[in-house]
Amino acid sequence: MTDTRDTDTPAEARRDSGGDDRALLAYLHGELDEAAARALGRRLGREPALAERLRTLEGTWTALELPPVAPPPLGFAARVAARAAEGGAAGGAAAFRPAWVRLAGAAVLVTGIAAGAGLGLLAAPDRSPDAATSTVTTVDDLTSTTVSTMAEAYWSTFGEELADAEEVR
Amino acid sequence: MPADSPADLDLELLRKTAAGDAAAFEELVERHQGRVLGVCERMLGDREDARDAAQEVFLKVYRKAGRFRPRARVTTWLYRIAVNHCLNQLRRRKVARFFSLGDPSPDGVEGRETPGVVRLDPVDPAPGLDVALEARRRWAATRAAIDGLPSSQRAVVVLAKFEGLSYDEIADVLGITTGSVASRLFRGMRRLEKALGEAAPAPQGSGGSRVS
Repeated sequence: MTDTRDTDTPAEARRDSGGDDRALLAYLHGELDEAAARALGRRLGREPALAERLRTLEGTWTALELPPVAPPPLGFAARVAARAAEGGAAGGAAAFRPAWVRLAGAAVLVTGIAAGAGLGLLAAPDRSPDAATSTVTTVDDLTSTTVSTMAEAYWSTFGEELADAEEVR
Repeated sequence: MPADSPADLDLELLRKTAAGDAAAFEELVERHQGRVLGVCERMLGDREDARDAAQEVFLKVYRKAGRFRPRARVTTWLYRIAVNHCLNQLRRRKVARFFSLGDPSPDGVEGRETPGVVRLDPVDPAPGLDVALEARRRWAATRAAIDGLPSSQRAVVVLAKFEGLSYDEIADVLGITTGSVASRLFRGMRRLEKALGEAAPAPQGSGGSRVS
């Protein structure tokens, strides 16, 4: 299974901080300064293993291929402009609303959903055997739907706010 | 005064957009739609999602036009908004996938393809079919390998490999140091090497070859 952790373990980080791969990759991308590139070039001439490693990295980099990006749909720009115009003036009031106001609104929304989910769990007065199935269904629904909705609400508010704050830098 | 360079023209269009000039905004979208769609498609791996994302990106540009600071290039700013939007989309997918129990789609999006499976246009059954099939195989392997990267590494790989940005430009877009760009790219490459190595067809006899 592919490892999708966003950070490496300290051991990995230590191992990754050294070695020649990082320099070779920068060399491959033309990102080394002139002196460093010359020095690495000299090493490549006398170290066959290093030269082989460079060829392998180059092979991997070249092998990364994706299909050509589809051309923009016809009328895309006009449609976007129309949607923007519907939404109001550029940099309108919503954009200038202080971040804390929008964050507070998001917090209220998520808390409300959480409270609603809690009430739903408590409101199961029918304890008869026949009712067991429906109660289980309610709990299942809460885990799969309500919690998913809460997560969505979180990312559509807090996540966007954080990203927006970054973008305006 | 007419704009002297593409960057000047972008800035001029953005200023006019901020002043409510709809035609200027449309021209700005026309000029950059290919770039934004491209980065969204390569980040998200899905053409439909990319179109939706690109639309949202430009709407954000419209809303924030007045807050742009000219110390950065407009293209850098656009890339930043697009990449951040895509990273958000990827986080949402991850959260939705985590919470949607029993969802048959591993991507957490009904009716969408599995990550790593690239939806492609039908192949023309003409001469060169082998070449087309081989290209499809390489594209699918690359897509799967990129989808397996942590999002921060994915963004760096996409910007370097497919957008052709330098380390400095990527650092500007992502708001990180050039050293961090190099580190993420290097760690990403290790994962990509492993993934592509696993995806490569088994060698046939001694003449078999790896993905190259």
